[in-house]
Amino acid sequence: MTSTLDNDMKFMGESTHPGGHFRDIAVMGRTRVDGDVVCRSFSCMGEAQVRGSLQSGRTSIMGQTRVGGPVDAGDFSVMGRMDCAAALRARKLSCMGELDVRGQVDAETARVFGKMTVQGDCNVDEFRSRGIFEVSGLLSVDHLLVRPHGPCRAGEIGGARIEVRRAGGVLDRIPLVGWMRSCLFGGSRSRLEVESIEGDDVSLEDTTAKVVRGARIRIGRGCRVGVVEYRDSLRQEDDGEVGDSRRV
Amino acid sequence: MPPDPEQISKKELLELTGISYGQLYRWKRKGLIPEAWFVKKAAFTGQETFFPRAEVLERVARIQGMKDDLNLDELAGLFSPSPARLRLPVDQWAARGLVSRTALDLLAETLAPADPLAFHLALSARIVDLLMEQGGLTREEGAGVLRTLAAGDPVGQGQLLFLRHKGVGFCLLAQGQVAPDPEARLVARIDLAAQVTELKLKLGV
Repeated sequence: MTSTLDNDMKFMGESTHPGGHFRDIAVMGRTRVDGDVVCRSFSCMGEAQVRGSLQSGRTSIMGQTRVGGPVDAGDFSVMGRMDCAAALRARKLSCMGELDVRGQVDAETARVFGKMTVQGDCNVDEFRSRGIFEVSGLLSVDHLLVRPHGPCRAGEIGGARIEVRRAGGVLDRIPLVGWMRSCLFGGSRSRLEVESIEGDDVSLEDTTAKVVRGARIRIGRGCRVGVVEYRDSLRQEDDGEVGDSRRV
Repeated sequence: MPPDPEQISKKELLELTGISYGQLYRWKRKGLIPEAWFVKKAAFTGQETFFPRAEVLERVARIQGMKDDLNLDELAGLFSPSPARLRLPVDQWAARGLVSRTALDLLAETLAPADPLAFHLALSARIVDLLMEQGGLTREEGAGVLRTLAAGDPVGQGQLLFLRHKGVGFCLLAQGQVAPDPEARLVARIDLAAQVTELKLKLGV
């Protein structure tokens, strides 16, 4: 069933729709839209499939949404599950659920608490993660702050400030508890794996990288880095491993 | 493998120009440096990125020269191959001598455009400049030209004709042949595509 009021659209029950221009869309049931959707806000608590593109000023996905064409999501939050078969653009992106993008991602800010998978490049001015992410291509940022809560992966990371910190909470600081937790819950799998990192200020923990290049570099605990090329300084701490390093 | 003199490695680029990784990645994200210029090659330290030397050095120098006057999005528009994305503040169009103040004021009165000003609107104002020089247009007639161009597609193909008949001036956008009243005097004929190219060249795009 669908109902409209001032071009607002509510989808309840099971329905299909050709698409078009709307003000506010709410999907509570299960719906399929065959064309493009342009709207002021899109919120999905049920299950939605948009076969065309989706352009929305505010998008919140609490249920499950699949979009076939490019998505321009504005202020975007995923608490449920969202699949984008093409590119995704957003102003603010927040992923507390699961987000899967097969194209490129462009956003001003991104916060990952859940799981985000991007098969293309990911261009974000400010990227923060306390969850799990996988970017197959380049993750280009101004500032990146990552605490890996599970296996995180990226092809390359490049930007001004790149920080990876150990994710542990207060409990992990107590010697035996941290060790027991890592045995029980696979804490050692919570790390970032990346081919190369290039940045001006790079500070790493629990990171595996083949190459790290930058001006000021800190290689902290839990790191395994093949080659470091630095301009100003290199600081190696705790058990951080560096295969080879040279000043350029 | 001997280094290719036509190419420059990322490391050498940063060293030569004094820019940082942060700037380079930011400029790439904003489209100031085309994706296609980043060429990956296998090196003994994994992969290294190379650029076409002459192009990238020239581009970086221009970004460094202009980044105090323009923000990154405006710069991105400037380097974009399609002028549709290009927007510059009204003052910039005037300060660079691309459009006269008179024409910009007339444009503001007639169409009240948004600032920063889009490429096609600046182009329309430039065409008014040209017509005022060639055909001694009045302000009223200039406003007519702006309205005509705004109704059509000035960045497209075709010509703008300005005619005068018994002292009354009027203009039309035409593609192909036009046969006006033989007594009307053709004051100016302007090829739009040529104007687009000229303005792009002056902008250095």
